[in-house]
Amino acid sequence: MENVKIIDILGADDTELTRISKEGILSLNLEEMHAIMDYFRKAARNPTDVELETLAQTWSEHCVHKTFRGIIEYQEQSTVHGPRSTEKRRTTNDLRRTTIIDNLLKQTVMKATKELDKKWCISVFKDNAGIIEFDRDNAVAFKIETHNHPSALEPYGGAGTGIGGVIRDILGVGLGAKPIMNTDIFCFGFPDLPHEKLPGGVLHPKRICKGVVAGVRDYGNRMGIPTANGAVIFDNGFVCNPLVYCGTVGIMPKDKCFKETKPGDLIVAVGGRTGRDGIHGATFSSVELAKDTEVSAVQIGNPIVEKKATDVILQARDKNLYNAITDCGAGGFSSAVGEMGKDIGARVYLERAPLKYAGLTPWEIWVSEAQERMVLAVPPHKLDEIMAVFKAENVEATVLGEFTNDKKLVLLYKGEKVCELEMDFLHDGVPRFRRKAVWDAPETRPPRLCRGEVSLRRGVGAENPEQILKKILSHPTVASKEWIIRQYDHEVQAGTVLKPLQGKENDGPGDACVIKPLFRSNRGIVISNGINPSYGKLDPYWMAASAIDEALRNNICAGGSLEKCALLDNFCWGSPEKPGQLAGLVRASQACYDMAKAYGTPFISGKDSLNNEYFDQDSGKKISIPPTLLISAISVIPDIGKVVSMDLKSPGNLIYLLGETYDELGGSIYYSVNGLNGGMVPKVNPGKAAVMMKKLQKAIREGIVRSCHDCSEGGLAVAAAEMAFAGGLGAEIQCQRVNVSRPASVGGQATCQSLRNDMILFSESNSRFLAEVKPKNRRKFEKIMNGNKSPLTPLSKGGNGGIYSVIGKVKKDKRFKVYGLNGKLIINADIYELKEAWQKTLRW
Amino acid sequence: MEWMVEICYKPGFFNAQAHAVQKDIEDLGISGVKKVRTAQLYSIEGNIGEPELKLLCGELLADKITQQFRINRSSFIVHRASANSKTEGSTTRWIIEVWYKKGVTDAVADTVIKGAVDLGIKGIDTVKTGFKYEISGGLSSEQVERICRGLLANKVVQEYKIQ
Amino acid sequence: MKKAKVIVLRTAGTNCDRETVFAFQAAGADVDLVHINELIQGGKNLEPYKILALPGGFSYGDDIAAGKVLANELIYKLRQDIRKFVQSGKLVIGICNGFQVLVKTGLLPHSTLTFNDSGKFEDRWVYLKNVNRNKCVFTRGIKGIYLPIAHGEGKFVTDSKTLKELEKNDGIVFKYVDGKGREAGYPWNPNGSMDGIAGICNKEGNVFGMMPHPERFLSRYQHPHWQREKLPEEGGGLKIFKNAVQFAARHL
Repeated sequence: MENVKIIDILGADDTELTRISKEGILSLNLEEMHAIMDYFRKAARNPTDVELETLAQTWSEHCVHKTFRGIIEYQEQSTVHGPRSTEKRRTTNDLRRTTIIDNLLKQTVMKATKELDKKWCISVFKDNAGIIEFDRDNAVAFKIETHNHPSALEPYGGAGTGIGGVIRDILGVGLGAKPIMNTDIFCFGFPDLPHEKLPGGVLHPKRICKGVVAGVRDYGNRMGIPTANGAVIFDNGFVCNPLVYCGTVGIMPKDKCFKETKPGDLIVAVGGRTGRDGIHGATFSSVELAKDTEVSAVQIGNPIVEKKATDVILQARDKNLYNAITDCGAGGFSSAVGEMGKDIGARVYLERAPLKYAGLTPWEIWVSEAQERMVLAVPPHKLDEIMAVFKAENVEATVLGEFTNDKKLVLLYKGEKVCELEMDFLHDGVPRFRRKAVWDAPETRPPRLCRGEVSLRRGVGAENPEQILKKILSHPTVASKEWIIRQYDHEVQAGTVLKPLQGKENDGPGDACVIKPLFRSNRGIVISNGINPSYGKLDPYWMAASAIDEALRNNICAGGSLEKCALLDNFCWGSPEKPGQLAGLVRASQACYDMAKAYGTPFISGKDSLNNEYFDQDSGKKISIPPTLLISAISVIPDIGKVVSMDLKSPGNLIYLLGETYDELGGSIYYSVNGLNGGMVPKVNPGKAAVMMKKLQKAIREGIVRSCHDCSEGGLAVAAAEMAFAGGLGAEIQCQRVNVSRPASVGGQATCQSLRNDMILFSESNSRFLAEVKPKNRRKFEKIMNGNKSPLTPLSKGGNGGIYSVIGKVKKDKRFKVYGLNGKLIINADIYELKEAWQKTLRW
Repeated sequence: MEWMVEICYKPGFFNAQAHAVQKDIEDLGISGVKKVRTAQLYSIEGNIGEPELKLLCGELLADKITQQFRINRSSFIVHRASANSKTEGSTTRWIIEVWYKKGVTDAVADTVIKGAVDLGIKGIDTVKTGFKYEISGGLSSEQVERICRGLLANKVVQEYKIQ
Repeated sequence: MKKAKVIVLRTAGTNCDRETVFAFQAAGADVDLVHINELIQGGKNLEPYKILALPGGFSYGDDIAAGKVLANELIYKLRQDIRKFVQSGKLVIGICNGFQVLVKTGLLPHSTLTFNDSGKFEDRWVYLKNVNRNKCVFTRGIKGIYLPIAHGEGKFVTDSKTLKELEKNDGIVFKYVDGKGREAGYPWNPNGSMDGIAGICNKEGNVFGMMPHPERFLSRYQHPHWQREKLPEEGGGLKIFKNAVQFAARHL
């Protein structure tokens, strides 16, 4: 054959097979190579390079999620803590029972969705994005993707193409949705990392951060999609492997939520041209980074090409000119056409693909990940009309081939057959992984009372709570992200009714973003996120639970709705081949199931990015990221007129703390700024929390909550301070009034001994909110909080499920005052000083 | 015919980009930079003469109020490898050019071709875009290398030349 | 009264077109959203329209310079039509990218919009003072207004001669001011514009461009402080579109 190479695998031994996979960057393991060998042995021939590449792309971790769908032997060692309410029952010492998990995804995340069986879920886990109902005529789709490896190498291009890719996911979900909002979440190393501590071949975190922000800015802004929500986490675990999550929400008519490719439909490629850029992106993402990683995997996008394609595709959609659509993401045409023709078959003439420049071989055309391309299935009689729509706006479109009904993938190049694979083998032939996971829980000593305080006295004893508060406010994870947010157009499309920057001077940190997608309707969507890798270092179960709680907290306190709220999961992990890492993944997934069930919030879509490791040539070690799960929540609300911002509104109002405070400083920013490790990671009691959230939601809907903010990184003190300086008002907080509880397993109520100001102020216990209420609405608010039951009714009998108390007041003077447990004034700071501490860190 | 076009600010106009670069250099921990100047470079190949090129620069590439342009026959700036830094007293002036590597998407280059056709200029075959930085100050060549690698260019997609 | 016909022109990279269409509809106009290719290829023409709007976005990516390529397309491919439209006293408004296009076509006095002094794109709400002595058709009856800007190249620059002419001809419309209505520096003047100029009009007052986005403030819910302050249901930006539509209905 002239244009393709035949790869001799039939005559290859294991060493040779491994070499072929490695040198071709196929990322296929030996078992997979054997499966391929067996297939071709039956066909009595060797594969072409095109066939091998096609299999490698389709079977990549990136595309089929082998780990999540594989078989895992899971073992737990030492003590494991379950949710608080059931802790005693679930705590077992030295548990060595092995559980076989057949398809982790189906057993956890997807299982919750199936069991919850919400009617408003339209399409879950099968398309490019999850789709839920918006109103009678419309649906909303939501998807978040990661683009970590490319962003590590070329932050600007990597982040830009990351956002471009997830936008195409939305454009290619069902029959296409119109993108209405972006959300971006990043994890970087500390921006002030000394240059000499930077491992070889790694870009400095600040440069990565600036490049990523510029990439998102230039792509998102040009696409005309508001980037209205996000988060940035700084931790040196991400120095070598930054995480870049890009998410997009889209809106679509309800009758356009499903696609069906039909035999005879023409395969039409729309948008950008194909070049050598982005070859091997799918397989590349399964390889740990090394100093001289192949660079063609990185590309720079062209947002205007994508904007043009978006404009015409939505027109074609509304004219019903195609039967199916999908995006060219990882794996390029190979994945797009392979997926669309999965059940019927496809025939493609590769030489027809428009190229950026000559010289591409057939396999390069087929797997190139050049940006801004979509593939459509067009019935032949509609071809002329759809081509006219594209041509009218100078969008290039080409008929690449047709969908068949022989269940085969056939590729031709200049008359020569370069690939012929059975669709069944391509999609179902990948051998399933069987992997071991062993959970060896880090020692979670019961919190030694006063440990934090002792350390405080010893290490940073000279500092008073006010200095510590300022230090926490200046921690880059907590600090104001205004420098980033303002670079994004977060108001284009004119529907951002709760903005990311809130308050008197438009600079307070909003919890969630609210979008009103239709000009003539007051219905809205509330988007929020939850992420905390610091907890992941301690226990991925509670990290996942906390992330879910945080995403929901953020959503509810802005006015979201728990009854119509869906979740996305995005796992970024180290190597699943390490039993400890895999066990963490199992635990996090279990938490997803437990929490989703308890809150009644189904997962609708998700993604995993594994192998986030970096081979450091200087130390010869593989460095892995902290296990990180991003949870994103989307809820639909009937009236955006009821949403609430986080800034304090008027002097004299009461400040309520909802929820219970525990001694849970493990993984906290308080420990981080004081250089302390270990401790108890914050837990979640979803039963109680859900009841509390529903009550808060009711109070917000009744319009009696003037402002609301959740307690997350930095705890109660940070939340209260942020509310104060965002509102340009003072506040007075009494530590004595805070409800402090002790975990059920420790037993009983909090003792005086365990009560400490630092714990009350900086513990990051979940499911807590600060709410501002007018004194005249006190009774009304408390009635809602009490529910119909007495506060003493147990939760199982419909009790109030939580505790609330007035912990302070809004003040006219611009001072933030905290009274300690002994009634003495322990913090008395000017709100503008606190704001300055919070703003200065990332004011680049 | 191969042309090199350089677009820079007229004296007296604030160059926000140069300002940002100067700040970023300080962030790298390198002090001593006195002045940064930047220019946009276009390498233009095709059947196009000087009058057409002047039209292109005046009507498309340069802002009529804030910018000025310079046209050079052939891209001698890029290919001249032997040039060195110029020293005036303790201040050294370094000239750095950054270009995209072959095959990397260059959206602006495509737009230049479209914009030229709108002006009736049809002979352009290829356009490449690049940046030129003039950095003055007491910098060593190692420091300039660091600025290039750490800030101005990413070797994954760009190449740079120091003069 | 017959509804005024408005054409909102879009091209590759335009992205504030839908909200601009809605703004004119809310102001009572009959609006068509038209791709520039339809005008160039002759499928549509400007004749039936009274108001031409160039909305915000990144026309052709804002590659080379913001609005430049679209500006050239208008003057090199639609020169006659545009000239006739303007000379007949019909109204033209350019918002954000549309303003960048207008100054670069020369339909507005000799000036440009260049990179923000901050060197980056910025989205923030700004206070504007209307300093126009009634020449500009779009802003009559407006004293001050609070609107968002979202741009990377919004710094207004011109030469001293043009600046004098602008003053003389009543061509300066909006200026960036602080919360108390005084001229001020960054962030009040978000981009370093000369004399704090945020919007200008031509000598006749029928061609108007501004960097801030009035189409993003049509209802109180778009205001950043709607939960803090008592605000009217109608957003302050709508008046600009209403002025244009009413003028067109009465006089054109």
